[in-house]
Amino acid sequence: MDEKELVRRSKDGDEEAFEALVNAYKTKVFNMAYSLTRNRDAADDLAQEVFIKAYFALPKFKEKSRFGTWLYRIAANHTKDYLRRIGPLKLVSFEEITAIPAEKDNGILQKEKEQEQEQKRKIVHAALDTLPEKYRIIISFRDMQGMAYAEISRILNISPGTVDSRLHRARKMLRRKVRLYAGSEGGKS
Amino acid sequence: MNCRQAEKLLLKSLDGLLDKPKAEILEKHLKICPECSRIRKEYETIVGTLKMTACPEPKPYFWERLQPKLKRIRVVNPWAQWKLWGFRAVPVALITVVILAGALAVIDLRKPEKLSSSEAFLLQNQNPLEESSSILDEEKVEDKNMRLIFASREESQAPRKNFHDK
Repeated sequence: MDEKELVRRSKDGDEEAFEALVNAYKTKVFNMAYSLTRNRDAADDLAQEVFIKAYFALPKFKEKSRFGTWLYRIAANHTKDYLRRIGPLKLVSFEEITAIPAEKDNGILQKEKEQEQEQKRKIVHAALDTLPEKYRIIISFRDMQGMAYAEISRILNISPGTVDSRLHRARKMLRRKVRLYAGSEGGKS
Repeated sequence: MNCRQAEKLLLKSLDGLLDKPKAEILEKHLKICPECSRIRKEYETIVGTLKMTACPEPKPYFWERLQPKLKRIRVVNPWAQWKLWGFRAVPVALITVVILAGALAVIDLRKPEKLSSSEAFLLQNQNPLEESSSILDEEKVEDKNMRLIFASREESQAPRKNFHDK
């Protein structure tokens, strides 16, 4: 059964059709929420709330866009509301980033590489958390979820040109912040 | 090309949106500019790290946890349920009303008015001589005349009789 048919049936109250849509999109919706909150419990709750909202808003869905785009727009707006409600994210301190778990027997090269990668990830995410919300969202959509410019433009309701300029500004800001973190790391070690 | 322009192209190249001539210009610049080469490496590291960030899966039994919530909200919030139903019921009711109104406008439900004898003759294509046909069919002229005289007298006296009856 194709997606349009599932949407039509869900509108008519067919729970099995809606379950199929939930199963098809739960991971993507969860990932979107997780990439912005980086909290598994919160992301799971947000994903559930997004599907509840979508279920009750389905009669208003005019099918001018794809169901996925419409759903991601709900998810993006709901997550933004949540982020505004909880206030600024708890920033990771420099000590937290550089604290590598002490492993007595880590002579293995692979283990060292993994730790280095994990440290890089922590630095980049800590820097990402300091960016304004609109830049965090666009980086999350493009660089973490791998969404196309056109899709981001439809979800955020902005022109592809704005997506381009906002993404470039976001990456520039992120690089500067990462250098700050990495620089302070270098100073300490 | 200066370093500022190079950074713009660099950012585009991260998404593979750079055409071949511009990519060549950028490469030329990067070969002679160690600062821009370092910036490129930083961007690639950042974007690569973000891409490799593994997202955990949603918690298990996602639908099983969602389903009772949907049911509960449907029960707790009858307004939402009404809205769900009303979105279809309201336009259907409106269309029905419009169709009924249209039908009433087209179909004339008034009782037909009683036609006068001349209207009946004209509109219902009646034969005006039908009643007198038995008289006119009389073979004898005297009988015919006599019956016509009596018929005309009966007709002229009929309302007066009715008036007296009252």
